[in-house]
Amino acid sequence: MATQPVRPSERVFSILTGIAIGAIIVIVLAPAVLAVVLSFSTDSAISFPPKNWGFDRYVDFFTSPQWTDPLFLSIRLGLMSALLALIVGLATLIAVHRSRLPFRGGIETLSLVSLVLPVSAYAVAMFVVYSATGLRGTEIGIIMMYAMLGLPMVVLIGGTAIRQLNGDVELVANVLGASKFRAWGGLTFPMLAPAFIAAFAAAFQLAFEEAVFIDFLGGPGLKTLPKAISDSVRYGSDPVITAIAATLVIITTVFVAIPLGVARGRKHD
Amino acid sequence: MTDNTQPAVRLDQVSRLFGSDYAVQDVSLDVAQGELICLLGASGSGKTTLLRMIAGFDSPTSGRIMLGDRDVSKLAPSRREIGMVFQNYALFPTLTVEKNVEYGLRMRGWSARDRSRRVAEMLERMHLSAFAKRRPSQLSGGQQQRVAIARALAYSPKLMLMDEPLGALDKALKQDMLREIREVHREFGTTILYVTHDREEALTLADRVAIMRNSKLVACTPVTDLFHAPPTAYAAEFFTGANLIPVDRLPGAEDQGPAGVDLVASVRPRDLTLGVAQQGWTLQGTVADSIFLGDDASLTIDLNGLSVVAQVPLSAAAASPVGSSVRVAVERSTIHVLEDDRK
Repeated sequence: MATQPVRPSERVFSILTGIAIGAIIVIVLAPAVLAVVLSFSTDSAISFPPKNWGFDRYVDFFTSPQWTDPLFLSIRLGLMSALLALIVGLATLIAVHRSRLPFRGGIETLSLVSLVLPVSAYAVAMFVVYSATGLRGTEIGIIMMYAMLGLPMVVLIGGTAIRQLNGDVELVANVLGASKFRAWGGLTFPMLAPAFIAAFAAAFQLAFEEAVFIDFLGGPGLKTLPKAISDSVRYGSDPVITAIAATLVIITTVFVAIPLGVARGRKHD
Repeated sequence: MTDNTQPAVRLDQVSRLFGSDYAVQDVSLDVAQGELICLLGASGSGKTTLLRMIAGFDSPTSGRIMLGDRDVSKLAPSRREIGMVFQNYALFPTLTVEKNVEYGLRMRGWSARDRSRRVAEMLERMHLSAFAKRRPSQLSGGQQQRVAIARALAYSPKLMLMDEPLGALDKALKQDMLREIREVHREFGTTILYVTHDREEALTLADRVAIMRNSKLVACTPVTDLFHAPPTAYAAEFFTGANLIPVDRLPGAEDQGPAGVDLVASVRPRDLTLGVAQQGWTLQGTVADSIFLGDDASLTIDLNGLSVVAQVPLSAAAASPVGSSVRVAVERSTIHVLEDDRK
């Protein structure tokens, strides 16, 4: 008798938990789903539910330079800044894990600073710095800014992978006749590559959808996709942004799915 | 140049200083061709540092390491022609079992045909043929260690170093692997230096046992000697669990040992009996503990402040419960009087 009453209450609890999780998923996903649904409407203004269906907005998006220019700029900035973050991040990780530099722990912490600074305060500070140095409104300036934002991704994801390495593997390879360079290239690098692909994807995604720093630092010349969207909303609402939003949802999902997939694939290996 | 009497490994007064502390101090040791030596010691005794220096991961601050007729003290690990097996296997996770075993051959520039023939041979020998295409993470611990051994032996190294290779395996598997290593050693005739802290492994495998303590090599003798003619008091106590009784408790015994030093008599638990000695000493004591061992029992006896262990028949143990007074017979023929080197 004493153990009997526990079960019904446990069941109620698990049902409630299920409902709560379900509600959270719906609330989180609903706007994304809504954007995708709306993007297939051909109504002249954004309204729900759509009355007419079609691909007009995607045609608009991918044919008018007003939108394709920002799209290609965002892709270019994303790739360049992710590459720069990867290079700087790798150098940081080598310094932290493979050197005897003093204060190497401090270097690692310092590389994570952009994660903890309040975004608007950071943006204002960078605005001042970039205005004084003439970097404001330049592509190289934005690439450097985004690389700083992407750096923590590389240092965190890459650092975790390096810490999980078995250091004896390289030693064994040396004993088996491999030079240090060969052991690193043939064994250590393939073990780390998935983590760095994931870090690159994360850094790209961060830059691709960034909307705050570009506002402060982009100036009139640099209009990235997120900037173009927010401008469009500010001065009216071009319904094509639903197609852009839907495209962003899909691209973002892919770039989150890649790292997760890679990480899972490794675990099952 | 090379002949059979030349040692496979010669350590010549090898020392390694870290700051002002010796991790390894003045270790000299000759290992004969095909010999299996177990390097035993408590943790921190310097055995791992010594192994790392032989492998080439670290260099001695003084002394020489010879492999055959080559001085390898300053040589990179990749040029020493040795094999190595680690406790955590250290297999290459991105390569299949087959590619793991092949790795050393590839680094040594073997032809594709020789490589695949040798790999097949090694996998067959280590009962791994069915797993050739698997990744290490898909194998059990015992299988992984067999891959590590196959990989280390594939190119017939002159010396194989094994660093607590069975430390991560459970007891039953350990027995299997010990037998396997014995067979492999006999078959391949490889010289093996085997680091462990497990006496049982040393007993099963070793031609000779080297004991390290406080960064020094204190003994290197055949296993039987450790039981029947222990080289030092520490080695006897550490390896065979011998009792060390100060000679002032055994009047006249000091004549059997070296002069003018602190002497102890080493006597193994199974050589102590309860009762009156026929030719030796009879000591008075109290039973402090009694442990059932199956075929006999182990009594811990307090001899006026000195604790000794006696392995006695079950009947004797039954007659002497914990707390009872007993007489312990130390026969003269069973003791080895040695310098007390424990301090």
